[in-house]
Amino acid sequence: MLTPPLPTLLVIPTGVGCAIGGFAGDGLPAARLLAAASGCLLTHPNVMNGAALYWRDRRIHYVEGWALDRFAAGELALAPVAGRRVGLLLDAGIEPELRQRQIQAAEACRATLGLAIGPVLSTDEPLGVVLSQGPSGASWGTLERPDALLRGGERLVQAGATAIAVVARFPDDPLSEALVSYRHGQGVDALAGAEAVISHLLVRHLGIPCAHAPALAPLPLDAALDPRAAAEELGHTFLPCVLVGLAGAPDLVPLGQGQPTPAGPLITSRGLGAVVAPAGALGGAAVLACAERGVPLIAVSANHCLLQVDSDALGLQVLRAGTYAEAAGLVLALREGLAPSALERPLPPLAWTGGGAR
Amino acid sequence: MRLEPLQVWFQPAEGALLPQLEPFLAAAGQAQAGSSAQLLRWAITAAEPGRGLLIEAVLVVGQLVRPGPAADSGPASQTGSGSPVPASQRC
Repeated sequence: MLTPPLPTLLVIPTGVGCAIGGFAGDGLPAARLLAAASGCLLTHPNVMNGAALYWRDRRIHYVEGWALDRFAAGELALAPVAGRRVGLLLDAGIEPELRQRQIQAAEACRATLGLAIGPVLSTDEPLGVVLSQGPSGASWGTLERPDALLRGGERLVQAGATAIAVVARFPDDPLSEALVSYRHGQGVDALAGAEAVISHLLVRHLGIPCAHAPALAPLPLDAALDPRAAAEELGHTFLPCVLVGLAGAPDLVPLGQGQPTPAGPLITSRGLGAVVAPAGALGGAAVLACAERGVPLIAVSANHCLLQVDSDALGLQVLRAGTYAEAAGLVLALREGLAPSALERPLPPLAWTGGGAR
Repeated sequence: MRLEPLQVWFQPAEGALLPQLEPFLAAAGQAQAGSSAQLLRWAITAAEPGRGLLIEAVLVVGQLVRPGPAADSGPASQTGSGSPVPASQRC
């Protein structure tokens, strides 16, 4: 008899230097394992995106971070779909040759993968991406012209897109200390914070799946490149993984009074069976919302990052896992109805709390 | 509309964090950037005894600006700014 799936949320925060998932799609093996263990994994583009590399698995639901936070808070449900039309929004600040590379990546995904892509539009003004870093060292960023992003998204929706892949021109700085460290497997992805801001803005405004890929000039060859950063050195764009992810992304269904209930099965946060996050990065909205509702929280200590916001700091109860392999074992135990404590030794005796008062 | 960073320390009381954090952050955002400020993204990024929790956030301030009809037909780009061109029609 098949055990029913245990919907599980995998969060690997972006821009905080996670050893696993802090680079270019290097969280994917962990996601695939957890998808196999749970039968239903919800995770965000930072985990799934490996530039030209990706993995399509019907058990994995690709949900942008702002929507994932709303899902965890019980404000959104997810409705799986067979496929969707992905509109492509290109920053007007992208040079013509680099813009053509993005369009050719989209054409390749149509021709080889059969994805429904289009329309393609440019924003009416350059977006003006600005990168920054917070006091913790986490990468952040903003746009000089967020209105142009949202206007472009609106035009794509009016033209029939049901998801949006946006490509913004990011500043080139190939010799910067941060980029050299990142390519050598240290430090923080300096682009990640601004990428999250871009996709959050679009999803919040439009209520449909959106994700971002940066446009950058090609980097010079680096023989000391870290394997985790290698996916971003394979081609001219980071767009294919975004198009593939969005093509199968679930609908975002607002929950609340007066909202129509769509036909077909919905995934809601009430059905979540576990949430998995790095042990030192538990201070995000989705993880907190789940933990405070009693969803088992699996904290993975091997995925160290520059933050130390752990269960002790936040007063959260967690199931501790050394690695994602161990986390997958815990998810499987929960799915099978096994108490994780039964797998540990010593196994303390049950506490006798005394007889009840008559 | 503009985006603005917010960094603020928060000393939590006993009990669940989110019901304390969300109104605190909304108030902190509005105190910094005005009544239209709304949280776009936030995370607790540090915890220190005595200081509490450091929250780093990005605020959305103001409303979306929509240019008039003349601006919408602005400079043409290869991909047809203002006039969608399906990828399937550009081969």
